[in-house]
Amino acid sequence: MYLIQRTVAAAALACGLLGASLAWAGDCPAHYVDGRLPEIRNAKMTAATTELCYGVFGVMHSGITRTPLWSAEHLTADNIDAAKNLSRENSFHTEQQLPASLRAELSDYARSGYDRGHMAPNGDMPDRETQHESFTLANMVPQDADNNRHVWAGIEGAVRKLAQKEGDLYVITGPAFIGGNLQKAGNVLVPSHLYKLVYSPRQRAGAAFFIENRADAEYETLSVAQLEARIGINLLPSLPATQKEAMLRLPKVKPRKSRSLS
Amino acid sequence: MSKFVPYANESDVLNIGRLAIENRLDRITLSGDIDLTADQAGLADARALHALLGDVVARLEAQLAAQTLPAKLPPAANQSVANPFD
Repeated sequence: MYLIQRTVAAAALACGLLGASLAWAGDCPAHYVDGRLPEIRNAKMTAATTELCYGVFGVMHSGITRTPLWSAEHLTADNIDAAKNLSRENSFHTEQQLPASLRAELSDYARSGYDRGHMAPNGDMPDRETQHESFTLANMVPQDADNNRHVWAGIEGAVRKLAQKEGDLYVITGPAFIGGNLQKAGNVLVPSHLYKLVYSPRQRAGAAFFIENRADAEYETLSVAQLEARIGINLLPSLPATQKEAMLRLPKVKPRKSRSLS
Repeated sequence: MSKFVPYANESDVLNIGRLAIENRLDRITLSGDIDLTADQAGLADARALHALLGDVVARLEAQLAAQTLPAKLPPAANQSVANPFD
């Protein structure tokens, strides 16, 4: 806790000295490694972005894609324990903090065939309020249904287990938009790929799952450096380059349910 | 508990056991799994699921009777666009 507070103070000081345009810390530094907001390297991706802060996750929303570019969480074993016995009723909802011209509406997803895929997962949320927040469309991307319900659900579960083992993890989840052409569901751009980066403060190492947004896709595991190069975002700007090459050992993920059973 | 009316909106989510049930205009999605255990909790879950499926069947049968139920949903009308980040 001390370390985080000190880092935030240092970042705030640096912002004051260097001017507000250097958004080192952002508005919810607690969700990010060393309090540092990721830095978008692909200039085309910075247009119409809005930082949004929620109880246990932070989002950088794009008004171009009408999706998050990332959802960041500091996932702790305590929060996962609290999450286990929750839920019952929820509701997907449009993000009222965003202007209508930049946000996704429920109607964009209607009859699209795509799932509303959580980036920060509902299963990570420790209480009713944060659980409700996780159902904002600012935390959703159009995700292939098979991908979302099987391999991706498996990845989410494996990351929760890893967080329980490590004590805590920083997790950044988001879409990647790669290739010449993309699908569009209503006004919402469909990502070509999805990523989930995990960083263990205990091991001072991270790694990422990376997968195509389609049925029956198999995930790749990437180093932090490899993932950042593919998506054009410096996700962990406080880490030196050498530390981004060190691979955190990721668990092997079995899909939550095998399709081959049927 | 507010009533889950199948196909009425794109927002409702219910959980029964580890089953997540999502309301969509063109489908009801059930994902996850559930044990309907031979105890009182199992009976409560079974009743909730039974009521939900009863509502789904009633709704679809009404559309069938009104001759508004298609044999198969039309394909999604998604577009292909140039990647704005490329």
